[in-house]
Amino acid sequence: MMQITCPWCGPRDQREFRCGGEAHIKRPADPASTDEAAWADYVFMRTNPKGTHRELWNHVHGCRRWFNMARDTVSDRILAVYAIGEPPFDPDAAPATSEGAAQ
Amino acid sequence: MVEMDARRRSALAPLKLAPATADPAGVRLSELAHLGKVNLRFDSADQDAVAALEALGIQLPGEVNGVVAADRRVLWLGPDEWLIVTAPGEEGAVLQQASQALAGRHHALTDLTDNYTTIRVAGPSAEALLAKGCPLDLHGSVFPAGRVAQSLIGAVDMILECLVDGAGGRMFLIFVRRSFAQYTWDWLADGALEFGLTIEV
Ligand SMILES: [Zn+2]
Repeated sequence: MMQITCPWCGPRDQREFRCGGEAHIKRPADPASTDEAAWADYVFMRTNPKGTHRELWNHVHGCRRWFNMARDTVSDRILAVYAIGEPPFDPDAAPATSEGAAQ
Repeated sequence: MVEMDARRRSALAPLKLAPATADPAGVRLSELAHLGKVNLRFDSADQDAVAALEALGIQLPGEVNGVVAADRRVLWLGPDEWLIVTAPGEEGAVLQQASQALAGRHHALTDLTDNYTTIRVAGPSAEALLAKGCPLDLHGSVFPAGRVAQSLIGAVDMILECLVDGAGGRMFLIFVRRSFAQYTWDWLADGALEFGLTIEV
């Protein structure tokens, strides 16, 4: 099990959270002029990296707020927890935090 | 005290709970039926609105997971969300006065009085009982009296509040949705058997 630091509530057990999949997926600005391949890419295609993955999480059994999280898919180490609307976490730019690291 | 409709039934009424006494009683359970509960959402950066609520005896906790103990108790639920807990029957006045105070501002006031019931868990083994099915760190140094958290008990979402019980002791209030109330009570009563269970009705 992991401990995840909710940006609002603080460190909580993983059981209180649900993952909402990859973060920073942008809806095409003009769906009408988006071709099928680009639309399919938006709807279905996700990265599946070995390493840093940026994800949406919801504190579903707590404050019910959404937030972003960067997680290393190899070690399960949580690299960053940050607010919706912030730019995607860049592992090369930010120092890794120990908060919420896999227990 | 506001007069209440005699037909109103508590969420645990169908269990037909009878008083029970264990000696020693590690856990004491009771239902606090019909406490007034009003969910409040607004932007607390609006100082005028905060002051208007304070004039009504609704004071927001200054810290995350905090509680302001008063006749109108305010529990932190989220960055823009609180639960106001009152004596039974007082929720109507809170709703009416607070919506007046917040008129013209973006806000939501929702009467959750009958959406939730409240179960009080007291006694020296209260923490040990909750720890069986709650992932929170319930140690007194982390979750002392005056704290609140939303979490799980068994399979159920709850709001858990910690209160003072006697000299230095703690007791807990569990707010659960009405349709989960019987499950929650049964879960607590079953888990409390090994500690000795007293039921106060
Ligand atoms: Zn939270």
